[in-house]
Amino acid sequence: MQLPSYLPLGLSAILFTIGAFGVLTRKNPIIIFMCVELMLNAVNLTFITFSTARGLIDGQIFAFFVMTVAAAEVAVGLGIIVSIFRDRHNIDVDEVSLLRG
Amino acid sequence: MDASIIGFWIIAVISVVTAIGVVLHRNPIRSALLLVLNFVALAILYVLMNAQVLAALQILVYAGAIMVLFIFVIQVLNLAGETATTDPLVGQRFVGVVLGALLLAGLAYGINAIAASPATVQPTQEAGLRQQALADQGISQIQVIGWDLFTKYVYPFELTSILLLVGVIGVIILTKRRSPQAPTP
Repeated sequence: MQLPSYLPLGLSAILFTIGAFGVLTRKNPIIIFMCVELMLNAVNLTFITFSTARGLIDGQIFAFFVMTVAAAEVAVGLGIIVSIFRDRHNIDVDEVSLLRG
Repeated sequence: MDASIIGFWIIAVISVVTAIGVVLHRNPIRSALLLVLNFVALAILYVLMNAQVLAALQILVYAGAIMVLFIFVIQVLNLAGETATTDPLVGQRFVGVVLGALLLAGLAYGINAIAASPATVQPTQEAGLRQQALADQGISQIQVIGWDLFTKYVYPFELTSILLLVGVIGVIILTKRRSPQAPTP
């Protein structure tokens, strides 16, 4: 028997909410990035659930693209964090309020 | 109860607990390791849902590459927990809880609509026929994904190469020292 699709969808909703809560409340940008990854993974889970439930492969291919974008996003985001840290030695997002150093 | 449903509940508990740990842990390195566990649990769930290729990619890309990058940056910057003791934004946590609850309620409403009419997420007749034909010819899932990736989705696929190139160049420019005379921190 196949997994009923509302179970993984519910799990994905819970994981997405936990990730969104983390983005809203944490101050360390590295942990905020991890929460964004959590949210992207929740969306991937939704894509794969619908892909399996509908019998179409397209959802899996879109999840593949999401992974690519996540990889690029993490590389650029961590580069920004490293360059901010180099200027200020403090990367709390509440205190980094200037884009220009 | 069916084996896949039991497996699902085990994975659901693991992934939710590790996700909460990621959000609440003070130490970033522990958050990162819990996030690895979360990604592995989701990869197992993908296998349960018959998406083996994505499970392998999940382990390789997320648990491998991305998390190594995270841990590398945490160790390079020598981050040890959050330093600020006071909360400059008053009620941030409270607002976060409220907004999170609203989001979860909205998502639950949508999922409830799907659960109420399961016919909307059944395989279409065309999709069922295609799957049957592929199974008869012994064509595996990765072959189907590769075929679609290079025919139907060839332009998005090529665009991702540009995206990754832009990412590589962007990181080099961002982390390069502005001038060689600048004092090293």
